[in-house]
Amino acid sequence: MSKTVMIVDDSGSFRTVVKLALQKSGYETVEAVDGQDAVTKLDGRKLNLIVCDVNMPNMDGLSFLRHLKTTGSYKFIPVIMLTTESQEAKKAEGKAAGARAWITKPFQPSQLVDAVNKLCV
Amino acid sequence: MVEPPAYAPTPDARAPAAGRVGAEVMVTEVVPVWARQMEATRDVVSSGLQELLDSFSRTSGCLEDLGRTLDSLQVGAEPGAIDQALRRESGALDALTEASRRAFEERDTMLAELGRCVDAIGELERLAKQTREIGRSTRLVAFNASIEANRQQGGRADSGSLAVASELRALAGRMAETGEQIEQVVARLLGSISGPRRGFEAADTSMQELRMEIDLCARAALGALLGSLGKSLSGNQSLRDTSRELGKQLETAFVNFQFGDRVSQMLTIVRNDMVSFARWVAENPRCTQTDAAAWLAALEASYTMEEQRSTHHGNVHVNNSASVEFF
Repeated sequence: MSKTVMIVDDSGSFRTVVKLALQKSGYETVEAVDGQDAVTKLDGRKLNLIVCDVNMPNMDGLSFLRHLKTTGSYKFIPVIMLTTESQEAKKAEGKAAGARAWITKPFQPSQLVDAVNKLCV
Repeated sequence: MVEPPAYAPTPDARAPAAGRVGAEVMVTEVVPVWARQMEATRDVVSSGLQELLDSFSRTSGCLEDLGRTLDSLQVGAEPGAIDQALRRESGALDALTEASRRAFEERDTMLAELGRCVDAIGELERLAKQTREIGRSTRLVAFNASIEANRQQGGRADSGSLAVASELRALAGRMAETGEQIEQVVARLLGSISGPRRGFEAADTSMQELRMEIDLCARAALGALLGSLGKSLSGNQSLRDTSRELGKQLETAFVNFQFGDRVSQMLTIVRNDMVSFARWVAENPRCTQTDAAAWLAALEASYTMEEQRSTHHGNVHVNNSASVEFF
């Protein structure tokens, strides 16, 4: 059975790029346009990993990550932050919030797939 | 979005003129920063589009190579292709079977000779049996002769003895004839055996040599067949290489597509900063050069991308390759 990755990003083209890279490697994907949309999609569906942008309207990536850690069933889902942010302070914030990896954009699809393969439960 | 500085601007005695001067100062100091960011954004769009076009151009080249390779691929793994190769290399294959064909012919010749030998041996056995019978008869006659001789005591020969002697002579003659016939058969037998032997020696085709000849012909035939199929093998390698190159170009295209997201993000940030700037200037008509510097510092502190910091100061931004950091 293939694994499912949630892609959270306010950019449609970016979600498409990530989706194509992951589906090519055999993953199924679920998309959310921001943190708030991602929360509504934590509806009991099986997820194996989340790829999340940082800067998003309504609910940014770090806020969504903190919320995720308060849920019962999704608490231990690994999260990869995929963002233009490269400041060490921001990375430290992500690590403290529970992120498992930090990838700066623009990214190579193969790098993302390698990271997903490594962390996917 | 940039937050306004957390202090009140410096009061100025020339209140009406200061408002215009204040706004002028802000515009003079801040707008060039945005102009550089818009310029950088335009450059990103331009280079991103160019790189995308290059990616698609290379991808198109790969597809053309793929098409040419497929067109030139004549021989594949299809059964028809193998038959074609075999027909093309039929000369080499015939040479491969020629040596074994000759070996079979020689074997057939030998078998025929052996058959004749077997027939001759059968005839020999018949003659030998005949000779044995003659021998038995001769012994019987001799025995009768002895009896007759004993009966004629005194040495006078009579007709009985003569008949026995005549019979013995006839028997001896028959035995001699039989012996001659046996000799002829043996001579024929020897001739049958020695003929092929001389032939083998003349042809110089020992089993070991025959095997070597077959081995050489087999290698030549296989070499010719592989040569025919070699074209398809190299074609497959070419396909693999082109496929790999295509994969690399598509991955590059995926990376280049991401420039759109960067452009969108930069434009959104600049728009928000402009809105914030306009509001702040309206609320602080008496701002000074110091306020402008503080506002710009606050603007810089709000940046989330290295690119923004580079263009803020008019530096050229160098894109670093994506990094992956695991926690």
